[in-house]
Amino acid sequence: MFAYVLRRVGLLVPTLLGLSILTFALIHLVPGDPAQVMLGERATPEAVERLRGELGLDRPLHEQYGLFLGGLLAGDLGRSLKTREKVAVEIGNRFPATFELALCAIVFASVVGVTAGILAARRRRSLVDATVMAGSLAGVSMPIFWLGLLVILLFSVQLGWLPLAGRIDPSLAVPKVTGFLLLDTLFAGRLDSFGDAFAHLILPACVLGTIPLAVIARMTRSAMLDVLTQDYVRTAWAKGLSERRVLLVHVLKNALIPTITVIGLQFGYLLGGAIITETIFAWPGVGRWLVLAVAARDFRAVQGGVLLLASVFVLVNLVVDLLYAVADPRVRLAGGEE
Amino acid sequence: MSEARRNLRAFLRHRGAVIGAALVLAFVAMAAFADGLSPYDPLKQDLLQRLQPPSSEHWLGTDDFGRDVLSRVLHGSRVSLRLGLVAVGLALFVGGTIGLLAGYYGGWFDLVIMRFMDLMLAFPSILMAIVVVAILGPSLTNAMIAVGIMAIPQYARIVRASVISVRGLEYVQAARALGAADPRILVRAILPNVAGPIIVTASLGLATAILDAAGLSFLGLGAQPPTPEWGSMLSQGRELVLVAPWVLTAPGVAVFLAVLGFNLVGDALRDLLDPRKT
Repeated sequence: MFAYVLRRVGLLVPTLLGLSILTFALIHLVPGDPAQVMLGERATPEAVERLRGELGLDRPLHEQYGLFLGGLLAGDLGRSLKTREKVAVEIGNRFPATFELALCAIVFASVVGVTAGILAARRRRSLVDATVMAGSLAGVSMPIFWLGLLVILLFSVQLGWLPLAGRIDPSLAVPKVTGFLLLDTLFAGRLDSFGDAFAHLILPACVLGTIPLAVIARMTRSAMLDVLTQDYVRTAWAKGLSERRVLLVHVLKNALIPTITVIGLQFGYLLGGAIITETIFAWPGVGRWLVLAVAARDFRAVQGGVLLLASVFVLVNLVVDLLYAVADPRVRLAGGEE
Repeated sequence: MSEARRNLRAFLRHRGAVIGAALVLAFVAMAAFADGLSPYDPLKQDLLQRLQPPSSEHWLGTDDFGRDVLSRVLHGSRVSLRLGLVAVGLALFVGGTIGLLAGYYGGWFDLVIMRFMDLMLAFPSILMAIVVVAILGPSLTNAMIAVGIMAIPQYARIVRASVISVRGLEYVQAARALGAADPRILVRAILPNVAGPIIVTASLGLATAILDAAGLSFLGLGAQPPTPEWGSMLSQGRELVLVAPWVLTAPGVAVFLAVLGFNLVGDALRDLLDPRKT
């Protein structure tokens, strides 16, 4: 097991180094002079030259990368061209919002998805099965930017049940401790604020969780069906165990192994893919900020945002792989033999 | 011929395949005959007719510039179809070539290029597309390129795996023994035998490409106004959600059905072409 962990963690270094090179290269792949592109057509030559100096574009390439990497290791991602704020600070302020949203979305998707998958596998080719399969196909085909607008129209505008956008009603805001509003409101002992923050989370989390929900339901169903045909399950039935016990204890335990991998991978995608959902619900996270930075051609901000989201994705994948090895001895044994 | 007929019959017996194919055909027909089917010019503004609800004159209503929503949705199919085909074509050509060469020759080329593909996969796909748009600037063409580039590693991996599984087989060795040159072996002997997984991936890939490109346009990073593109129409319609919800309905349904169609066809093809199932 130790050898496997070591090997898997060892792979992290070249991957993160590769990511840093790719994001560094981003600014150099821009057609034309990046400083000119950032400042626009009407910038004076002096201003362009000043920005080139500020970005270090007048230095040799290897020196530029050395500075970029050095800054990165010191937690310095440079300054945003538009706001003049430190990119690392801006990201730090927004990342908890993205993380909280993605976490709630994956919890929703996992609970509903695994339940739907079990129900479908339990009665294969039944009406429930057909409904789950059709629903999951619709889920993966759903443009979530459209779904988001529809649920806003229904639940916020027509029914008035849930708030339209944002993270919390400004009048109920609490002092920032962790940046995770569900926690901060509890720390402040404000149940009214907690309720409001939770209500703000429901629609975006459900919309963001739609595609993972569909994928998880499909995966759980197919993993359950695979396990259901195994000999040991037949033995369990033959012993006269109750259906509940066979399905939930004997089958689900093994069927969950691939499902957990899918849940982990989907969580990684959610952190990076919350961009559209954050835009629809005016959610003040990293994704929405990144889109604004791309539109404004604020390359330092884009580099920082992309690097952070991609690194988190890589780290989540690492955790998933390690969990997988804990759950399934075959993985770490195969790793040890190599 | 008999095998092709057998496959076609199996395809037609697959309920999902038939529904998917019908949706795809309808989508292609819309794109092909958009000019003839549209009652109005999709770009023509008529401010006296702005935000009209659906009526006999404007079946799906009008938007805030008085443009006919039905005509814009019909023309949007043309944009989305072209987008999907160009993006998948790009990914297939570049990724397929990389996979073919990496799988056939192996060695350091395989090692280096596939590590690079792994690195690309370390980006969540929408993030990768945003990086490309950040570099090239927001436009419809750049969205096509972005969506195409982000799918390259997927095709490279699938083609490489398929090539490795057939390159040691007897008929390939026989072709080599007969003195066939590498390009000939690759194109004539190997390519036809890895076509199955490529067709499945391309079909599902069209669904993803249409969805992602519409997403980019929705974010303002793809097609720009006044182009009648579904994602961009939804983005412009966002402000109108309270006063004119019909502006949002049609483009959303159109994206959903087009994506659903390609997903159904892709799923069905996978069922039919998967040798484990036969």
